[in-house]
Amino acid sequence: MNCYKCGAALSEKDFCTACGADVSKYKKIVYTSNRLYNEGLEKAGVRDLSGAIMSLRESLKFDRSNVEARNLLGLCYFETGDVVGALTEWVISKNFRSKKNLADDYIYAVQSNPARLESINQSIKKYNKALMYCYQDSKDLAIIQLKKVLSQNPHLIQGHLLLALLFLDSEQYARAKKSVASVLAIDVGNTMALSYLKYANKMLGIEEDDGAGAGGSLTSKKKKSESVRAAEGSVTYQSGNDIIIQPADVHEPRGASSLLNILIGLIIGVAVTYFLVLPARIQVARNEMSDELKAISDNSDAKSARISELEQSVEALEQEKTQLQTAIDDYTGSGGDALKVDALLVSVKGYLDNPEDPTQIAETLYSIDRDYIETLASDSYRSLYQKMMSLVAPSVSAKLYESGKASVNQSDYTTAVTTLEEAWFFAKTLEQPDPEVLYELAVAYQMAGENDKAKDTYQSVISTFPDSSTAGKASERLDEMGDGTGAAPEASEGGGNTQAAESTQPADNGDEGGADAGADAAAGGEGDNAAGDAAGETPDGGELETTETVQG
Amino acid sequence: MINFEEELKKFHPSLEVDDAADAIHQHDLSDVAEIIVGMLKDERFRNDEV
Repeated sequence: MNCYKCGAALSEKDFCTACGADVSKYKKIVYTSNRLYNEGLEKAGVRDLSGAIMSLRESLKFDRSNVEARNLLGLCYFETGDVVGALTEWVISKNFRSKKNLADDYIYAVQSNPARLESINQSIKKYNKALMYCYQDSKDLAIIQLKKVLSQNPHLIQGHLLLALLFLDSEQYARAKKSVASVLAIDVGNTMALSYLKYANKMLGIEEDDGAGAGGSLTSKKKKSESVRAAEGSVTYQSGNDIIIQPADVHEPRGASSLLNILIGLIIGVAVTYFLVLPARIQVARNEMSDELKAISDNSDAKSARISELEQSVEALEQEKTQLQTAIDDYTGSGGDALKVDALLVSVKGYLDNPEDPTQIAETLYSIDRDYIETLASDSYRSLYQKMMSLVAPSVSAKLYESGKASVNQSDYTTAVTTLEEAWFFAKTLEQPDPEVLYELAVAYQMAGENDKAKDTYQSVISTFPDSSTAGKASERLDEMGDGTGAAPEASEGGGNTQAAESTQPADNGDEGGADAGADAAAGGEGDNAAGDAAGETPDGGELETTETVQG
Repeated sequence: MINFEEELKKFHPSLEVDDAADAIHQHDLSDVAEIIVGMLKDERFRNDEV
């Protein structure tokens, strides 16, 4: 304690030892201020902030320099949401004592969190706006605004009280009680809150408890309080903020009945699932399966079509391959065109190498296929062939005729037939073929027992060389064979056989026989032509007509 | 019965943070000690005159 006059520290004396001023009264004032501060501190300790604020303000009225009281007052203001009031007291306190002052810490704590300070500032502004709504009778807007404010700054007691007042005005007593409870949780001695609580309880028909215990009991009581009003068939009670009205005769099922209800519910659930849910699922599954089946079927059809197409392609390729192979074989095979061409070339070479000995050439030329020459061979090939034939045919046919005739005389008819056929093959290509060759061939047929061929060949002789003597001999032979015995007569004229001689006699006897033979030959000409075609066939298929064609 | 209008009069707008400086300057810091000192001064002055 310092002297009010000189500022010196005072002793226990009632006067200042420095300036001598009477400080007895001053000391009493300071003691009063301190006492009030102590009361305020005690009230603040039990959260009676309203009482503490009153005591502390009284304390400061006595001694404005009571820094402790001012700091505590600021603290109480801050706790009640009055941040500006708190800052005011702390700043003034700092002016009275700049060093070792708790106000420094409080001011720093507030200023070090600017975001929080700004939030509080915004909540104050909204509170003022809500108060303006109340003045303008816009109570709903005020309620909405206050709810926002209190969500930002739950310690703003004035906001809670204003909200409680609005709820009371709108007869929402339970909500008003809730707001009042929030106030009393911060400031247990708030007079306004207690009065609102009393009013709300009165309106709700709840008996109030004694004095300050009402506020405390409200917070310590369970939130669920029951008030049964026996109305007509209804029971009313409050659960939290809600008022519940239910018929009086409602009995909640218990025990077996609840189990039965559960069982029935399960059965209904299963039935609903079975009749409603399951068919749809099954249908969906079936649809999916049918779609898959359809897709597989389409795929299978496509593949089957592809397989058929490929099979046809394979078949066509096989056929083409066969054709190509046949063509290749025709060209390169044993009877192929290549060999035919080669055979002609070999014969030409042979003739060029040794024109005096046409025997080998003749064999080669004889082996060439006549059908090929007539149909498939080129013109140059055909010309060359004909040329070669013209070169070798005269000598070859004569030699073969002699050889065949010798074979007949030796009774080697098989060889004779083969040789004479070849001889006739060459002979018929000449401009003037020797009919004796053909005749001798017919005789060889006859001797060999091939009577049909013999007849045909005789007929060919007759038709081809009608004016020759050979035709007469052939006619005679033919007459002889016409008896149907089929007996092979003896060999031809050159063989010296009596039967042959006999056979020639009819020819010698007369031209009539020969003429008859000629007439028979003429009569049977058409039919024999066909036979002649058959008789004229050489082992390799050559025909007399072919000879005519060549000569033409 | 609570009268809303009457009760509403008890509520006043809160000071915002921006108004703190003005609030500090306008704060009444007079106390009993200052009054008593003034009274004593006046009495002394009166005695001196007498």
